[in-house]
Amino acid sequence: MQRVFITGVGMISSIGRNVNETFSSLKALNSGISELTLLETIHKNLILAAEIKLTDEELFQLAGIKPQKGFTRTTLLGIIAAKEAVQCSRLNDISNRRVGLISATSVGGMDKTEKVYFNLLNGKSDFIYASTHDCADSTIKIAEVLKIRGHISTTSTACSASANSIMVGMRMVQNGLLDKVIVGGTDSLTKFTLNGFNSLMILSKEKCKPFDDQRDGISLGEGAGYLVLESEEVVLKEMKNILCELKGYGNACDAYHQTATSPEGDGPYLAMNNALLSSNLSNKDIDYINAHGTGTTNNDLSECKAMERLFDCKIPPFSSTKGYTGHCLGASGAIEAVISSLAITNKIIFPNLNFKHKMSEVDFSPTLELKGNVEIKNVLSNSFGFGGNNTTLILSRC
Amino acid sequence: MKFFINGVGLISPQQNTFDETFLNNISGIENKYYQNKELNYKDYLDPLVYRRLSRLIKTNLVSAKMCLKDSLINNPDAIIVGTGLGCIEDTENFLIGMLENNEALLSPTQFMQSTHNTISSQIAILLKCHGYNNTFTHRSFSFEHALLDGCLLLKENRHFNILIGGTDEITEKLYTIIGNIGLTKNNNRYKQIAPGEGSIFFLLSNNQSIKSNAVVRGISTYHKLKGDNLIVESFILEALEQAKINNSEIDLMICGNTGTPRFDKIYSSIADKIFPGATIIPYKYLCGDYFTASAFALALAINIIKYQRIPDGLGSFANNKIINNIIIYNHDKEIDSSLIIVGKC
Repeated sequence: MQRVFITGVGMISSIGRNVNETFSSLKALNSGISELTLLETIHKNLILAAEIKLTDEELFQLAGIKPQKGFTRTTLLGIIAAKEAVQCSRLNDISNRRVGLISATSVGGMDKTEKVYFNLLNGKSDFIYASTHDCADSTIKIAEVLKIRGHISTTSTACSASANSIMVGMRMVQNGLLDKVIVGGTDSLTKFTLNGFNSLMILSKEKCKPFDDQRDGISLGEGAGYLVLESEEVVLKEMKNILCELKGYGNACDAYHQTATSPEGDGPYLAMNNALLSSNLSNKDIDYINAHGTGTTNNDLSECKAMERLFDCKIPPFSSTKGYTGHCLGASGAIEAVISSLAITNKIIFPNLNFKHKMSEVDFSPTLELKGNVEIKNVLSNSFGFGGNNTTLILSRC
Repeated sequence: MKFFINGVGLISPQQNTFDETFLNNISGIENKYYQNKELNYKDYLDPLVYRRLSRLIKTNLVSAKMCLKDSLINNPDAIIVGTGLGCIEDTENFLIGMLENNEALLSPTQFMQSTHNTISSQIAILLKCHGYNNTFTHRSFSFEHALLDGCLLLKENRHFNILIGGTDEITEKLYTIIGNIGLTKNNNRYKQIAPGEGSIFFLLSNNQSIKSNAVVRGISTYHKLKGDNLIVESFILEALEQAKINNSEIDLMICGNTGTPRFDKIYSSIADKIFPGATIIPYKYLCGDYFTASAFALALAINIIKYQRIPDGLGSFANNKIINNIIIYNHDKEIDSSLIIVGKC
């Protein structure tokens, strides 16, 4: 099977409009979680979120597109991050049919649907937004802007959606169906998801505190992350600059409950273990874990239990970066893969924010200080979704 | 590529017994749109389980169970679902509740069940299946990409029995919106096929068994961009070449005609040019028009290959000729084109 390399990355979130700004914010330990100012909701003054403080008009400008109807916020974020990834990798033959795009989102164009739904239902106006509701719409618009003519597809597995789009892209290259593929995901904040998580009573009143004993829930975020994957063959032929290798993946289902993770973290354990197997690595080879770490009581404990099982109590340094970016749902897997690649190329471990108290159930804590000059060979990045859709990616230094 | 279909589970607007009597009595459209023939879910699911579930989830749990029963497999190694719009009913209910009650008094259950991956994960929970689990949602490619992903898994040789489904649901509100934006048009000149729904599962395997019905030999999808010159003809020839099949070896073409002459024209012109010897049958008048209708077409193709007969009224075929290969050709307004090539075992 072909080896698969990451040759470009792009992202936008509440901590930066591009990868450089993101890197500066991460090094400065700046959190993007703040009061909501753009999303219209009754929870505005009650719940914090990692909102990108740019209006849709400003996002159009950043995306290099004339403001027009028919573009959701999710699509605009996706275009901005995917364009950056393509520029970063200097992809020159993007319209070749051997180049693909596999994107992910959790609720697609819901940010517009929830504004115009009754107009659509009553046959009044805003008809253009009936076709922007589905998950494929943002993918298709990104393909149009980038002029991608090969395989295009969309995955949607809630909070692991973009980890799965990365995995599917990797497998398509490994199996020789594509030479190059742009993979990632995009999700904007919506009233729908904010109220959904609120009805489940798993939103934090403060900035989320992953892995803290007194953690009380998620801080939602928005953003997009994309990576350019290329086969070993084209990387050698075109003498491409490589950021790191996408070494392996593990996909497993917790098969326990629609929204809760099993107490011993069966699905997370299997996903991580499968990722090690597919990478031909042992648990001793992992130098850093970018954890899923949402800040809910349930997820963080299950994830710790799974880490305990997999690493035999010798847990490598780990942190959740959701204290910076918030939980960007369908985009989080890709955003965290970009952050993991930054950790590898810059030899830095970004610490876990807002942690004060060690969890009573386990004997270990996340990394709490910025660590530079760390030889990071292999990073394990976790993404766990509703329904137990668990996916782990392993990124490695070349 | 040659992977075996070892089981089928089908809930659609047609009868759900998938034997040689399939489509002997074709059900026409009973309402404004095509609706699944409902089953008594209590016969298949624990009452404590089914009470909390939406119609789409129930239908899919039952269809998945029917497929596994048919294939004599208790637990698959992986579950992959393709769905164009996912759990529409729960999404509508949560959305309307939120808008009407000004973000108060919301049901977490509706939100939990609104995500696209609820279908594949609920099946995993029911079966306690910890294997690979994924959901594709890309308009009329949703099912094809789920099927393609299943083929890749088998090729990678770490999974052996994959449960793959294609499903979408139609609701009154969705039908209203589709009508409002002008996608359902009936006028004097032609009658367009109404929206529909279905929950259809297949057990794809790299092992031939006594239950093997047919083999999947190729899957291709092509998204046309503005100003793109690639013509459908070369896309089809390329797919045949990849599947190592000559155009003359295709005995039957199953087409996604929607009743709109402008868009249906290409099916007959492709048939004339590439498959002059093949029998051509449309299928959407049996299940309605929806993003994952190609799963119904695949079930139809498998039934035809297995029983070597075209159900009465669908089309004619020389009596003694063997049906070896079938191509399923769909396109969504000529923008998204897809092909599935199925053959005899």
